[in-house]
Amino acid sequence: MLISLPKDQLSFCLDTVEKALPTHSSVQPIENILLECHGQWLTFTATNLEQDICVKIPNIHDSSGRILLPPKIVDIVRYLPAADVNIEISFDNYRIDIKSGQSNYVLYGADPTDFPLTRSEDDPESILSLEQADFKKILKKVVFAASTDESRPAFNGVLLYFKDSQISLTASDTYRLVVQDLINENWAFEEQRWLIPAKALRELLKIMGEEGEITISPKSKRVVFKFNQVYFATRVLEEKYPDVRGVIPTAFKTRILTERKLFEESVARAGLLAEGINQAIHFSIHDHRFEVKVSSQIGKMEESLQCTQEGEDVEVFVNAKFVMDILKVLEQKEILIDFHSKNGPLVFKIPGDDSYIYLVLPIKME
Amino acid sequence: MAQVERRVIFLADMESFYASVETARNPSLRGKPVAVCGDPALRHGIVLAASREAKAFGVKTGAPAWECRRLCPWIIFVKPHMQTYIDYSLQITRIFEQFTDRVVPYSIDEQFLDLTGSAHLFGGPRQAAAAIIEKIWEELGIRCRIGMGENPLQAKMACDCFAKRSPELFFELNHDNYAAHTWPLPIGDLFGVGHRMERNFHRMGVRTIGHLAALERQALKRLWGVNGELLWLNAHGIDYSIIETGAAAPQKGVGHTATLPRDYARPEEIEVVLFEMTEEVCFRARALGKMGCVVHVYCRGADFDYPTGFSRQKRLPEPSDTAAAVYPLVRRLFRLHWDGRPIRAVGISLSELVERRPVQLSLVNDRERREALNRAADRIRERFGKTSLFRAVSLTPGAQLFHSAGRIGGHEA
Repeated sequence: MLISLPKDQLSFCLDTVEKALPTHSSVQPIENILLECHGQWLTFTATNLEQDICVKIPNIHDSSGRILLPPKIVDIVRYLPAADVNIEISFDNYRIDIKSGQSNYVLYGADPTDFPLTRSEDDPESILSLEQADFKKILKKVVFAASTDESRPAFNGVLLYFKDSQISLTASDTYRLVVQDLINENWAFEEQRWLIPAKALRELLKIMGEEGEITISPKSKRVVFKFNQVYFATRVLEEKYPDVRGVIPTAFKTRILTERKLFEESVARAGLLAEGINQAIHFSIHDHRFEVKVSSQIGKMEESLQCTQEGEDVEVFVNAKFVMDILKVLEQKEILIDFHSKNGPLVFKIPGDDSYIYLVLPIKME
Repeated sequence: MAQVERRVIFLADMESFYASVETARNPSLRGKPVAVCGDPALRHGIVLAASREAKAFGVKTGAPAWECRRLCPWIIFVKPHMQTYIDYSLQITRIFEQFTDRVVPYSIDEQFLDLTGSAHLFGGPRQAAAAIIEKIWEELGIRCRIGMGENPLQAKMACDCFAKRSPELFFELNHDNYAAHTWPLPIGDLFGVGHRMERNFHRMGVRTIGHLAALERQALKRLWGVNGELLWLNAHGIDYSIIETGAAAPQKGVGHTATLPRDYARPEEIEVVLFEMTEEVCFRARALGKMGCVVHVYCRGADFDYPTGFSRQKRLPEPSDTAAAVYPLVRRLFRLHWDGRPIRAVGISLSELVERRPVQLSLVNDRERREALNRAADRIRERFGKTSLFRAVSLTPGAQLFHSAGRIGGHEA
């Protein structure tokens, strides 16, 4: 069977499904990429048994069949010399001939019989559809706060809570917490919650485009995202997500408003001297002055920023990285921070926007 | 050319330390064969120390009680008093500190002294050693033997191989006489050569220290790596280590190991002991004001001839000094790595200690309340003893708390 298509298109398919290739697996077939040729379509699939990614593109070809492509093909296509690629596949002996410009490859494919296919044609209806660009922005503001430490599995997930006309996204690693609410009068959700592995969402962020819609279809233990020609399915976590929203304070003892960019640069400079697992830097707020300080075994520094202050003076120690994380993902000119004395949380907000909060617990010094 | 100052390193060793302390405490034992020995009913029924008089009958450290009785029917067994030995050892350190500020205890009955800068104050090294030996005999009634060298290795060799047999209880080795004195000695006398290594050497035809010294350094490195090279250096009296007082070095971890009173085969029993040891290790971390980042679990199989067991470690999600947070990981490591065979000894340690403060506060665990509870429990135990407040599991069969409380190193305090 002969396939010919532009290198860019093939490369897009392979780069996308590569995100689901397991780094090492005890199940041999899934280390490969499944290629299916049916009618007018080519479908590429990879799975690590937690996530499946599948890309389907229209293509004219002369016969149907299935084959496992060795994972090396991802790099091979990336480095091909010409803009067009011709692939000749023999489904009898799984031989793959790749021709591009003056370059000729022969690859040995494999029998696809044992490849686990979890994708089904009768996927449930999507419950939500959003612009990809919007969804990307939202995920970027949320996913970073989820934990990568596997000792508390629930915190490896991002909680999506649907109710009536609202969706709440929650992520936390027990030291900080993000809550993003989305409200749309046209929505009418049945109450439901899905705990999606943050790892999958990080991969999703990498492969999502800027244009077109993305749909979300949850079903028993899986959630499927569809966008462009991509089908992205992930297992959901079955752990119970602790009720962390209760820790968000309603009042504040100190509130400041300051310029985000200047603040970010200041924290970056202070962070250079922060050390150890705590990465502690010191914020001191008094008389409308916002001092950022750090003192460690390497040395010390201090600088001050302009801010408008409401409420009492406060001194607090906090992990520099946790502060950087939020300042990097926001785009607004200004940022609002509520303090709750020295051992209470810092709550970061976007001025004039109640739908997003980022809460960080401080470092207790004595 | 500038003369390099020769270093003056002493290794002071206490003769039959435990037995000597017992004799010093109870003069009626003087001149009699005495063996300090654990309870013969349990595993500790072996000789920890024998007096000179007992040794004359062939009683050796490590021999079982019944064997001593056979060698010397009128031998006097004394129960160990570990706390007293520690107190004596500290007193000896105090005496050494009157001669130099550079004293490093090597074991309970051996200490290194660096008198490079202070020996001349006492009329020279030989006179200083004599003064130390006399002072310890006068004040504590214990015979002290001193080996002198230009480095710790030479001092150790001088003490073990010569000073112990010398009438003046002192011997000096240096770079000039090291070969002449030590090379004729059997290879087993070399510091660092154990039974297994001795067998290896014998198989190669290396019977004396001199034979080893004559081999090529590279050949030993090829055979046994760094350790082989180290032995070659030992044979030549070369040792690059220096005497550092440990005061400046921070403690890296807290650990606890114990040999069980019998072999444990039931997982529930082993887990109870692991739990009790986790509590003990956490208590000690708290006493230092530290928290550990890494948990290490060690289990040794019961069968000596077929060594089994494991030694594994894992990082905690966050530093901790609480058994409630550490034990789940201990249990996970145990369940994952235990092969189901009976266990003879277990150990737990907490390492990569960090200060208790500052600490990153967390949303989920009620660390504050736990800390207050631990503090209260620690205070009660400090005042009324380890058995005044305990977990109910410590009443189950196999629990060691009531057995180990009041013991040091597995022996009575």
